[in-house]
Amino acid sequence: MSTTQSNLVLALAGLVVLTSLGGCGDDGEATPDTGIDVPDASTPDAGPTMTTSSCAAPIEVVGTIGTVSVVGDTTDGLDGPLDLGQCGNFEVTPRAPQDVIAYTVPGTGPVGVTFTTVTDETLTNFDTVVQVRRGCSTIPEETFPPSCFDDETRTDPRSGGTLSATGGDIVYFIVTGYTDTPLTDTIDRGPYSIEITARANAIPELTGGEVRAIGDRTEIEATAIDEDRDGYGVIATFLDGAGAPVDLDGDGTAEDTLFMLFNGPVTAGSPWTGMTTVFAIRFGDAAALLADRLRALGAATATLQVFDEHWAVSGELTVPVRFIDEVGLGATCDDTHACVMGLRCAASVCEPTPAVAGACVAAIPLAVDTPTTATTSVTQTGTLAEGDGLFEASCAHTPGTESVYSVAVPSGSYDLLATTDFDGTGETDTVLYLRSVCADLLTEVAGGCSDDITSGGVNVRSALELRDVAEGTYTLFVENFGHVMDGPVPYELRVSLRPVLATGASCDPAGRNDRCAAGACAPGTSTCP
Amino acid sequence: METRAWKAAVWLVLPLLGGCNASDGSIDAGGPDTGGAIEHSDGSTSQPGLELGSSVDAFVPVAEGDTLGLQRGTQGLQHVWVSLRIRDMDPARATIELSLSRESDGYTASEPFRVRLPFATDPGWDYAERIGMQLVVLEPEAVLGQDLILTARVTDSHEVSVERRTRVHVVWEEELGGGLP
Repeated sequence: MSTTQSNLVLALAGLVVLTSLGGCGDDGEATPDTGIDVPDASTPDAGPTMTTSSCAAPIEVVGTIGTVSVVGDTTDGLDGPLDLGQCGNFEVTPRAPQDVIAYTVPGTGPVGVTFTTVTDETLTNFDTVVQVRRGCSTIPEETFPPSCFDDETRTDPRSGGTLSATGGDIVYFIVTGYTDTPLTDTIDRGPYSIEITARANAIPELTGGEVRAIGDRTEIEATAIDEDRDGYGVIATFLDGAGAPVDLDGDGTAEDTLFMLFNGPVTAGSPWTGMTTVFAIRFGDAAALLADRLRALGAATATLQVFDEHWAVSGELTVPVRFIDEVGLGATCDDTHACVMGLRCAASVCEPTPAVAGACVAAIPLAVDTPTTATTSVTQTGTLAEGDGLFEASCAHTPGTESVYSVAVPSGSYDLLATTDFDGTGETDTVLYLRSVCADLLTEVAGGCSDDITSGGVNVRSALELRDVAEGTYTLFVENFGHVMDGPVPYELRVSLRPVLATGASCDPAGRNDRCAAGACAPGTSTCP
Repeated sequence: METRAWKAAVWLVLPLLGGCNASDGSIDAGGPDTGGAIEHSDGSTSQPGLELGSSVDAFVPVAEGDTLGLQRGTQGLQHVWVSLRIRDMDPARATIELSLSRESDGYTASEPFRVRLPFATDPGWDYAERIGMQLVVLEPEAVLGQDLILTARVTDSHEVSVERRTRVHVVWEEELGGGLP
């Protein structure tokens, strides 16, 4: 770890001063014996205000291929003078103190730069924000590549990111803090260090690709030559049969471009192939399936670019858009019929992928007793981890990992109930769905998908109530809405079988222990109509 | 810029100075620290103190061998509650470092925790306290049933630093009887 030359020189000057003080860092004033004077810790004290670096006088760092570290402290800095646009908490003024680092990119040609404030010197509750600028006084306006970097993870408020540059460029890092209101467990100013790592970066060269609209999903596949083998995502615009851009989001303009990360790591070697699967896109104030929009707009081709993990972008390539029907388990698959997600085409027949087959075999049985006089239940707790999953719900996008359970419904008349609405679910935004055939998403039971119990964020847990479920073994999936971003998230699940009673049977007016087949249980007689 | 350099210098040099750290490095009973007196320029002395505690809503002292509850967080992680009391230290800008490590092999089971947070004060108190800090444990298996060392270090704005260590045990909160931290 190293400091910049200017910081190092100044640090040595400080050493002389400190030594002359003779000791303990005490300020020379007596510490009160009883009681403690308490300044408002949310604001700097009334002492001399430190000057901070600025665009006029930045902390200058000459980069090297490898890592350099810059140590700083914004604790007593001036209010941040730079308008960061939409970066950080832009609604709060005055802004938190800022440090400006002018970093000279090392080497020649394309260079990939990675930076992080997740270092030993940065307090773990310093909610850092780093904005990357190409001109120190210019607010970045583009949405791609990203220029504002806030929390590293959901539990770590420090920051990290990447950028692409050319050797000899000067890139500005504005290091500041996110001013929460009120500041409780985090701080928006403090000691920090930022590690900046550079390496030569090969720009990917796009050589092939295809867009496939299959049922509800759209797959965008791209192949590129790239010695770094660090493909990260794809940029796509869509054109109609006449070669004109289409208006994907219905806003009246055709300047619609998708920026998508690949589903996972690209294939090994160079050239590599990456694929992204797109479901919904923004459409007005709501959402629409991209595949439906492409069909409606008569999209015929797409112009693709790929980018690597440093956001270095390839040249363009126009590729075909194909529309393919979707078929399920055991169906014939060919150039115009693709298997649903989770299945693969083998010898022209759709069969489960090995991963899906394995997950289905490993489904955890939930042994719900057959009801005799009242509803029976089983409660199960678990967690959903980060990463990509294998299964997709019909009512919500569930690309993350899932928990898979099997539930046997006996012969007779029963309702199947499932819910995650318990304390053990915490803040997890769950999705529940039920299939009659584990591997085949076309077998999701009618009404068997639940996202939010109450929309609008009121209750993001899930609940299914399926009436008169036929005898059989079903697969129940517990998912998180979208990906789990950081660390596992918990859930508490209860699955119940509720007996359905015939006319004249004794029943529970509250409807908890049973349900009458022909109507509500009469409160006066507790008898089914 | 000069002032900025001064801050950087303090940060770099203080570990070399010694004499300000009130910790003797031993495992103790978690009571108020009594070592490491600070002599001030006017001839007066003070004894910075640090007391280990737990609980989320009030200070509950942690004594040698106490058992702490491992809480299940709402985001899927686990944590123990840690509270601290300091004496004769600046409560406004104290840097707090916490860790939970296995005594047998020194393995640090807690996530990095090095924060700056204000301590609460009251005119009637001779201490300042910070209640309910979450010390996150990623792997419960690393702490359950183990002899653990809970370490806290507080460094105030004058670079006065006090460290306390206490041997503790951890069980799931629901297995913990009433009346314990």
